[in-house]
Amino acid sequence: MDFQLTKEAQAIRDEARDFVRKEWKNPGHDLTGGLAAWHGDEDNRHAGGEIAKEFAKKLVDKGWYTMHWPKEFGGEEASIEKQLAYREVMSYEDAPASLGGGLVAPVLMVHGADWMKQEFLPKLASADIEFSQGFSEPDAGSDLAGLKTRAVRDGDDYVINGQKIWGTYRNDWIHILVRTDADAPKHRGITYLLARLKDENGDYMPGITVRGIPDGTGNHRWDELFMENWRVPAQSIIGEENRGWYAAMTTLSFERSNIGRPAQLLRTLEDTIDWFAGNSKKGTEDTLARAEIRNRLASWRVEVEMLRMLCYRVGWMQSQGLVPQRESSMVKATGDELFQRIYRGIAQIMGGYGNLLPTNGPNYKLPVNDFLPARGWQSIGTSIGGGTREIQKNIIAQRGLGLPR
Amino acid sequence: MDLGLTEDQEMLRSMAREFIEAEAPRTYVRDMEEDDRGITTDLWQKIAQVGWLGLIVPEEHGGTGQSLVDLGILMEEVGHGVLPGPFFNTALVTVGILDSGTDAQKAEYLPKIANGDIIASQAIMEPYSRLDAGGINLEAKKQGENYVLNGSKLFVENAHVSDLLLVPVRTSKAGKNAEKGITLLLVDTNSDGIKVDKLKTIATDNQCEVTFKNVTVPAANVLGEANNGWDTLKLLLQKGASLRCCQMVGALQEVLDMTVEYVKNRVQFGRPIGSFQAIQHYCANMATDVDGSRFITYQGLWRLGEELPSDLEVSAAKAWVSDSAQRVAATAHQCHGAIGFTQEHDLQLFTRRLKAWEVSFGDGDYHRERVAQAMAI
Repeated sequence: MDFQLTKEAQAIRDEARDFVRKEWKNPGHDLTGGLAAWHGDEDNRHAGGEIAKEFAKKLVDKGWYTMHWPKEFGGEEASIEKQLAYREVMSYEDAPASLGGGLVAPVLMVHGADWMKQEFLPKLASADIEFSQGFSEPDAGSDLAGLKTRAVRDGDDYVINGQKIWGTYRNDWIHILVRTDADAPKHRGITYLLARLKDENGDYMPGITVRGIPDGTGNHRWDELFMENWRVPAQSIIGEENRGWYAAMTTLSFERSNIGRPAQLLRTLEDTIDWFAGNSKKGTEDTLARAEIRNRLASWRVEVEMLRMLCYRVGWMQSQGLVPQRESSMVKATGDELFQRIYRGIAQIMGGYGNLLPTNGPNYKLPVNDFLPARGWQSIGTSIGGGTREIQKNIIAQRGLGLPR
Repeated sequence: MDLGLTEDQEMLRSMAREFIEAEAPRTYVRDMEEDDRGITTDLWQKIAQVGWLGLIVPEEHGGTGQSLVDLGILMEEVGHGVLPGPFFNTALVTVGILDSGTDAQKAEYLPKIANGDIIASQAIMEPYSRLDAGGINLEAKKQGENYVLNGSKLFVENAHVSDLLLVPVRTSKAGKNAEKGITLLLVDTNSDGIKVDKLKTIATDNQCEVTFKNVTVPAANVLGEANNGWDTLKLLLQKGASLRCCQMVGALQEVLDMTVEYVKNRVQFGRPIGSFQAIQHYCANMATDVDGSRFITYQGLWRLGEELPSDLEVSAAKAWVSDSAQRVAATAHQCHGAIGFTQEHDLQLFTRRLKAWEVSFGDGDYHRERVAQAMAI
């Protein structure tokens, strides 16, 4: 038993910490909050994306951005432990990027056609391209395999009709799941495509319409994508026709402990404590001296530590060549709930300040780069996106504990 | 990073499980609930023979010199089997002597502990039921080469069968700093003036009140430094909390396994209740609590064993395990329905002990305050 990281992992942790502290200062756009990333108006959102990209390019120069990739594609096949240490410190230090390529890179490496690998893997590796993701539909959320967007072969093209939702369809390219066989069992009639959403001039392709969806506070968070006789070349298939479901599930053995979550939450608690301490110096009530507040802050700290251990367990399993399943679902379900309780709980303790949006100017400094209350509001989504809490618990119970369906 | 067990540790675990299943099955556990001593001499001797009592005792003193984590793994099995008797207490006093004892004290006590001749326990709490330095008020006055003790200790596990007690006492008045003036003594329970009364408890865990009336203890029995015993005691309390967590993790795993087995087989409305999503989500919550408890526990224990700073990690573990144990036990009962609440069913054996262990070495609130201090708030 050994809870300490290897020397190599400790070294990257220290180096990355120094690097971020030197090279990054959060400009007030909340780039690291996942859901909060798109908070604000369209200009803010675009600016945020550019700033994140600029930082990602520095990571490319350091050779860190694709350290997890196979050597064949220019990576260094960094150990799981090294990836984990790196991600943990990047999240703690509030860096807007850490590892590149997202979920698409591994899919392309395993299933992509040669032209896709040649065209896109270098651009992913240099942080020059991002893909939109076309998975969810209005009637296919948790039951994703029930998706209905229809693709019919016509000569060398697919003709696509349907609707996607809950993505941001602003990139030039999209990876998208469509139904190519309506009669087959639902998982076996799905094809995975990599298609152009916009042409070289930045205009949407014929047949594509995109409409923004604001969240409850009026901030543009997601888009709807409408496809009407959208023609996509058949060479866009990732993998094989009707085998798209399985291609989309490809993850390679990249680190996926979600260690960034507890690291971010730990930083949030520390920022919050500083904020309250600063306020008490200004003569407001010393909130931190109240026993019930100390108890709550400590309780969250305890849970962050427990979550961190569940994440380490996933990383450790991966380092042993094991494939975490229920273990990952435990991390997701626990982390989502904790994220919600911590942000909402802190916002509650902050009283009226806990309802302020981050756009009230320099007189209203709030924890976490002014975004604490906004994240409390946005945390509604954490236990929904990426597999709901209920789906995670089903996985733990059925695949993990063997309970009957 | 390596969160797994070594081959030797796996063997320790499986042998411990086999031993308990063979020598102390649930029928034995139930018998011992009715027994005044709470353990048979025969079982205690067998425990000594398989080497558990000497597990962490160095070879020169008749043990096998294994690590604190090894002891934790064994403690997990002790919890898993709800093993009756004073193993936990004896092991903790062993830890205390190993950490702070003089060569003479080690030579005197450790071989006897390892071979089963001595049963020991810690006598820390007093009627005020506090775990901080201010809670240690049992008076001990220096008279020549002896201390004379007057006062009482409460919630002393298995004092009624113990030969040796580790007793923190107050050797100089608590001034502004209650941490000053505490001394740890090793007290022979055969000394004149000691009276032990067993209390009836929900867990039938042999909690005792021990009264000291003019009890004479030689100064040579001071463990650590006289008047400066608080740091020694604090470390012992941490190790106690951490080992208790191990014991709870073992019990919690069994509660989870028992419940999963039950809901797979219990049929209502023509189907196993484990196929209902409400029950599945209960079980998922339990499994997450149990796994979280395991890894947060071993992180703390490992750090203690490596002598790394561990205030936050150990208290985080005990806070989490204490609370999650109550959630897991309560959910297990909900899944079992009425039968789990009966004496006939084994679940109650665990629930009652988990309730006792929740507060042992500090409950969630106590340890959250310690976490708050470690966070510098």
